Amino acid sequence: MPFPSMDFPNLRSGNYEEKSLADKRYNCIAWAAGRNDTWWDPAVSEDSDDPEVDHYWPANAPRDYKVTSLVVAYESVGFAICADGSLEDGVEKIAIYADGPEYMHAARQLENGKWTSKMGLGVDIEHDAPQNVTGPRYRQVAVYMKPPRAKASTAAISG
Amino acid sequence: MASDITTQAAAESAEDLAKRFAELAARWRRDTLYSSRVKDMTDHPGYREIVAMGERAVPLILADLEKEADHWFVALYRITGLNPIPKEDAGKIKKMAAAWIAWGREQGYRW
Repeated sequence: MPFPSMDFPNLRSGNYEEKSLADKRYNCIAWAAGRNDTWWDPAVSEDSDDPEVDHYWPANAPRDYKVTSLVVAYESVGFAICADGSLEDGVEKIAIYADGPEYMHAARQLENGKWTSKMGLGVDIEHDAPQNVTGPRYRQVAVYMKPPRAKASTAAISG
Repeated sequence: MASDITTQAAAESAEDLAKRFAELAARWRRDTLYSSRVKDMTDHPGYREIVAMGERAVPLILADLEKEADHWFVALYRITGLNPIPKEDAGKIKKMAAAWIAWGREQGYRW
């Protein structure tokens, strides 16, 4: 099913491919970290004094939607901020998309240089470049991160 | 506004309430399909309207949750003030749904 152009004007037939069925068990934030069994989200129920009862969020990351908090979350599973999304041998980078100070989406680079995105509650797609999913919905790439070279494929999954 | 909606829900027939719930849930799902943030889902006007239905919405939500595990957890918390999800299941959507369904049956809800 094509994605609405008003939300994703840069996704076009030919620059992406659907790779899974829709799955509500995980979101793009977990998927970028290599997880497909958990929903990563900092939300807490209103008035809740026990944030752990809601969704999974790394313990040392602030529970809010700031880009800086997501960076801390990914740092907790081994990623570090890097300069760009260029392909490095054996390294799967993460792109964090943001609308001002708040994160909106995350994508992960694949070994073949393409990128994988979990599209909200929907499908996983493989797209040619991080810019393919920019636009009104996920906005722009704000930060790139990468795992330690020696643990390129396992750091996130073991987190 | 919320109290008006709550009053409306109290006066509605079960059939009308179920119909309104289904319409609101469908709109909520359509509008938030590409959202990865719980906040965006729970801030949606349709979601808020369902929360404002109050306790009468609980069996409707539980029935929907049983059909498909979805992000009704904040709504159930806001309506009931409870959260039966074990800490170790945080983020595991199917287990979170199962915890609420079990809670609903224990409370005697029927759907």
